[in-house]
Amino acid sequence: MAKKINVTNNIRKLRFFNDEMTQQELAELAGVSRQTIIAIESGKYLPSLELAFKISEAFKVNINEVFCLQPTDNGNK
Amino acid sequence: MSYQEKRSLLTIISGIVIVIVYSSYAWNQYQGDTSLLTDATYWSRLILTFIAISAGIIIVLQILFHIFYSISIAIVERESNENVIEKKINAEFKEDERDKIVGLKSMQVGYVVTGVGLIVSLTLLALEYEIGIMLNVLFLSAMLGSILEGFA
Repeated sequence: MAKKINVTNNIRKLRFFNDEMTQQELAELAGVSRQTIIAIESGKYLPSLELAFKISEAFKVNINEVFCLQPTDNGNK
Repeated sequence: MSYQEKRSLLTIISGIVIVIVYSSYAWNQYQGDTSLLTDATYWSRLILTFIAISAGIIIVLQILFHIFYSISIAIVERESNENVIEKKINAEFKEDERDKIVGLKSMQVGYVVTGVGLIVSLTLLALEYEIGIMLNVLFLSAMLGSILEGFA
């Protein structure tokens, strides 16, 4: 059975636990626009590996604490 | 709305205005003289003139938009320090990886629309329609492609 990989993120939670870091502050630390952070946070855009590392560096955590893989069935049985 | 989105909106609006102005002008010319449809030189000159004018207008509008946007950032942020203003403006104008991907996808949409227009115009020519119609379809599809680029 083919499995679809779904990438989720904990950016909202991590921002909250980092003195309620704003999306703008995170955007400046990662070197992207606030719109890009909004898109990533809401799961509408999957960042490049480089940007994913920059975001995890901004929170000073491992990349897998920011982005998680969630294998899901694609519905074909 | 980000700087890129506002700039795209400006391009869309100016593109629509140019298409409307061109269409009304070309229609008026056609009403006056129907033999113009077979005059390829006339349509080529007219289209080239409109391309030059529209390119000039879009460049001037983009420059004016950039200036007014910079001023509005300074006013909204109530900031007088030039370095701080410049930093904020650079942050707004920065094009990141997502912007580049969106740009590439929208360019693809533009190419598809223009390509379809080219095929339609060649088909019209093959079906023995006048050269004036073929050139107008080609030009309008290219303009439509650039407008849809902004929407994408």
